[in-house]
Amino acid sequence: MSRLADTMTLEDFKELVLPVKNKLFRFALSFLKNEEEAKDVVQEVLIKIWHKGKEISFYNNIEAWCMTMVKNQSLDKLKSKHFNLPGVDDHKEIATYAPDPHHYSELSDTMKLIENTIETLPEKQKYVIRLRDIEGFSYQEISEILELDLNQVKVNLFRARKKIKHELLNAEAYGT
Amino acid sequence: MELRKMAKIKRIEILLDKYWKGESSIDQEKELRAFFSTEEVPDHLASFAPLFQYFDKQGSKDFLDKDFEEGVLNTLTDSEGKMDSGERFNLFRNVAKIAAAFIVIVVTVYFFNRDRFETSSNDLVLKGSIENPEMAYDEVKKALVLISSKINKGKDQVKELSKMNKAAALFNKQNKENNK
Repeated sequence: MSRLADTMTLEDFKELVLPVKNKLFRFALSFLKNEEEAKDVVQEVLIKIWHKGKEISFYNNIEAWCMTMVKNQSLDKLKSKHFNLPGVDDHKEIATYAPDPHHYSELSDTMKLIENTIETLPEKQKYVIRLRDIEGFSYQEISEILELDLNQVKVNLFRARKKIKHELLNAEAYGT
Repeated sequence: MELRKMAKIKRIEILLDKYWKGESSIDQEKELRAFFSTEEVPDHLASFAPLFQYFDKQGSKDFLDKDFEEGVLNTLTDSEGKMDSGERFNLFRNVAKIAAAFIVIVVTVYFFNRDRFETSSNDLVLKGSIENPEMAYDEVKKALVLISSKINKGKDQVKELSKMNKAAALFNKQNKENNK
């Protein structure tokens, strides 16, 4: 990233920032459970990053920085939603989340089981395993994005994987 | 061939073990995903295949299409244009500020100097009075007429008083004659 001396050109943006869009979208979706809102958040973040282009050289990891911004923006959005609809709790939001049926039908039964297991993990475990096993971030990056210390990241990842392994072995033993 | 495959499976078993313990590196996890998505998976590992296939599938899914990208890029270039006009507006504002300050200074200097010129060149007594000489003449004339009319009125009163003087003189004269 050192070649980004002080300003980001449109080429830099296309080459370094835009390819992250799907990771950003998946991350936003995991908070918001709504594709349109997730799309909006990604768009807002991308535009912010473009305008903050000068600061970008100070961050050695653009991807992690973008992810942190998506997280903050998504949480802000959730907060304002809660404000608008007092009395709506987290559980209700998860319950009303219906993944796009096309996406769902592409998955095998075991994959659905995996998705459900991840979805019902405690918050930290859920985000840590997604960032590691789907998005491929390092422990250090995950600790920056989620603002957890390294040990917490490792512990949560370990527990999440253990839970999934348990579910998979159970499913195999009893049939799905 | 068979041997190489066995070695590969052995390696995958070791990597899986590390994975569950949370000791695998990112590259090793990539290797696991690649193995389970592309190669023939032996039965004893088959139950874990869907997990890595799921990760691989989710991670490579293209949610946001070219339209989205173009939309973002258009917004960026649009807002660039807006930035330019904003900068131009700022420039205009700065120039306007300087111009306003300049006008204020010029006006104050002008008024100060005008005051000073007037007090030095004109008589203080005339200050604030009528400047047209003919009008001033008329004004003065009016004032003098007014004064003279008042004076005449007063003179009439005084004439009446002079009758008293006459009477007093006559009275004094008779008094003197009686005393004689």
